[in-house]
Amino acid sequence: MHELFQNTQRNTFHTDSSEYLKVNGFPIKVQVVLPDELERLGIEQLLKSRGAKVLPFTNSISGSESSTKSLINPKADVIILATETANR
Amino acid sequence: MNNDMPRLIAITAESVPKTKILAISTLGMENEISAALTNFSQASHSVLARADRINSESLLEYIRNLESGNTEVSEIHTPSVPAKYLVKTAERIGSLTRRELEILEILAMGHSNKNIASKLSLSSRTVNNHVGMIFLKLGVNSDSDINGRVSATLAFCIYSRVIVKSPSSNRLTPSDTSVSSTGIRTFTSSKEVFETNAT
Repeated sequence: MHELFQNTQRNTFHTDSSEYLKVNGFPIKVQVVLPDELERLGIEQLLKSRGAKVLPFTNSISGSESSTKSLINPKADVIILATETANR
Repeated sequence: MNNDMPRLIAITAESVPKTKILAISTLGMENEISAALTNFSQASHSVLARADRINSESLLEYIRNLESGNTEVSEIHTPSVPAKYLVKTAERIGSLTRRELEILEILAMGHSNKNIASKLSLSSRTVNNHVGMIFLKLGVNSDSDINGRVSATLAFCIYSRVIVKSPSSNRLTPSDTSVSSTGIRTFTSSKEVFETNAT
């Protein structure tokens, strides 16, 4: 029983764990601000698979009509501001 | 987007100060982005990661560490020269003439030289000369126009904040004298600059 508990703890804090992006059972709310939709979807998928709650981002930074401020979701715990990744 | 990052960081940090920021940058703008993080967000609230040095695992670790308030985060966030560099640049804004300051304020809103000329009823050539002189006086990199504009904008934002802490050091204020005496409107002004720029 003790070993089981230890294993559970270790799995929870491993990056492969589906609970990795949860703190005290609550999902971390993340917004990904990235203009490239494909890359954004990829990152969002990764975050979701680790238990995060992904808040939507509507890309209208370039040539936008609404203000940039309105794109930022105030409910987000963490906002990822990203350019295109180098590995594309 | 890299060029927009400092502005975006400033907007984010100002509008949602409690939200943690993970900035991922490609080559070229690390200094400006790092300066923006340093000046607009708390050290424990932000991390700058290079896109070529980040992978899925480290991305997840950054997010978790940020949210957990892991102290390692502040070690990761080690901005280089730019913060001091930009503060020095901001201090030089005091040497600008009233007209140059007026132009810098509009430039910081993201307007082109042509737009500035139109707004101030000046010729494009005059504005070009003024902008060149602003870059020269501020000592920002004028080899690349966009980098010069970003640095000047950041310096202007810092100036808008710093200047109110030491009103005696400023020869000119972005607006009227009531601004420098309270400082509040100047701060608001810098936010408005960004918001206006975004539309």
